[in-house]
Amino acid sequence: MKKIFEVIKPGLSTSIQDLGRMGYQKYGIPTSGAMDVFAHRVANLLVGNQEEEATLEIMLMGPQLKVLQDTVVAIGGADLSATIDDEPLNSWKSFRVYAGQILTFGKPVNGTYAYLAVSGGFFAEEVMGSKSTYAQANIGGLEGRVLQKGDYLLSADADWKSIRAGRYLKNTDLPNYEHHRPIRVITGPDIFAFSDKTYQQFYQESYRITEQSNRMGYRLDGKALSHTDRADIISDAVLPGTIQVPANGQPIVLLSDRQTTGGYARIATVITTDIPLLVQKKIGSEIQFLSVSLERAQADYLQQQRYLRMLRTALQQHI
Amino acid sequence: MYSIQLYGDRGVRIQFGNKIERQVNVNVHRFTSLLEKYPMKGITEWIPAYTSVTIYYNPGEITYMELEKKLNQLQKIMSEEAPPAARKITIPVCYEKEFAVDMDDVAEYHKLSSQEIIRLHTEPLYYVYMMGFMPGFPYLGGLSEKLFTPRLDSPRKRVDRGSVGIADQQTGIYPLDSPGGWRIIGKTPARLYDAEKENKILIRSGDMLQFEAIDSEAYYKIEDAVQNGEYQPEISEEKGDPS
Repeated sequence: MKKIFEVIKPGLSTSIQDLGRMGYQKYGIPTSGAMDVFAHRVANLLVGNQEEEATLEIMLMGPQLKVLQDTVVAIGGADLSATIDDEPLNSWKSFRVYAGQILTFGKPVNGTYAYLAVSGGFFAEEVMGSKSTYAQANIGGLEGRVLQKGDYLLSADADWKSIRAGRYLKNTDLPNYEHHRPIRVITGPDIFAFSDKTYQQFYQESYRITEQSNRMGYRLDGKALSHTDRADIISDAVLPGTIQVPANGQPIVLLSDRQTTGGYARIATVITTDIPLLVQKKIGSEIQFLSVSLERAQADYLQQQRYLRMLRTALQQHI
Repeated sequence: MYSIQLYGDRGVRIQFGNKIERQVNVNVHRFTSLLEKYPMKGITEWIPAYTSVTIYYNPGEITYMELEKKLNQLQKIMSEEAPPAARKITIPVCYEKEFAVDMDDVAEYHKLSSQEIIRLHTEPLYYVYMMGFMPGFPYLGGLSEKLFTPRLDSPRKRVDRGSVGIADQQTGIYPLDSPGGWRIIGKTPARLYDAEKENKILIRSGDMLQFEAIDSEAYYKIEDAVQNGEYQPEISEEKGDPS
């Protein structure tokens, strides 16, 4: 174990995340974990880590970090104008960094969440099987909270010298966060809480991502959706991407730090591969929803899994 | 009732009824104990609720069709499954003024003495229908109708961990400091969520809870013991149908 970075400026909301805390939702413990799981996984692969290693999740206004040990890093996800000693650091590519250099995040260019991976992974105590930070309950990560000035980030001793810097994603493989295609969902589960007319409206109108959006969920604003009877349901499980509609008719998409159960009717659920595309949208963006079949959603999910396996193999050969 | 429906591209929701009823919820727990007994490849976890259990799975390991088939098979043997043994947990609560900011208002609302409220609150054996809302928070059934009290008009910015409150037809305990609009009538020194412990969560769905009134002296004594890691609430296993 070694100190790898010193936090000079913490950024707006920077936290250690991995793939989430699985198996404890039955006790009311949220999963947490990276908002954009795809970017998190790819960033890890680029530095030779397992996909489930912890990364640093960086939201919009990123931190300034002092490098304390030579290592290899990569940034996946949003382009937040990262520089190393004022030289631009491209996303989706691994770089060697040296002790004494300063890694700075600047102006957000596109996307919302970036993931900094370091060879060997960021160290944090595992709490209930995960290193993910759940700040509301002070669970996981660095003392259960977002980064503060003066913090030290630790990393396992990795054989970083064997990891060749300069691994990268092909241009054609890069996700496009400026896309205008609709966010795909599977209808339900509370289909009887909404009329056909309401569903028609839900799939035709656009919704704006409001300022009240965070790791718990994205609150949307648009033409209010009405319920056939009432907004409240008997409290029931919610999943990543579940879209609740409370009495005011404005949908909320539930994300990584969501509670495990909710009491509002659920109109639809965003499919797994489209959650990263949604979370990378900026506040103020207009989005639309499109209903797809389970077959379509799972085919895309499996294809993404195959892509990640291929990428892992290709990068290993690249050493 | 038994119905199965897809929920997003990684979820399956199995429903056992439409109402908050003990018998429906016991079936939820029968089913989750079968899921524990017969682990299935591809199932990541499950979330039991009042009337349903939602299963989260990995479509890379099991298809929806296969999963549905296996779950239907489990349902067939469900009636042979004895209801899970209920644990009874005694939660010490101090209802004295310093811990009960809303006691006077609740007493005033119901035209009852605080003694009467304490008696009504400690009398029932509460049933834990489900967990949720925050880590370790139990949704309890069994509050006396005489204590149904509306929430505060405007929630407090901070309610202390351990606070015991009433909100409409429910009573509950805050496992962590949190904002909240429940009417606070007492506080327990016991921890529902304890980061220091191996088993971090005290209560599980399907448990029975009993509140026991303690004075402030006992409260502080238990609080000290909790801090030293020497306190464990009284838990007894009770066999048979909790309903």
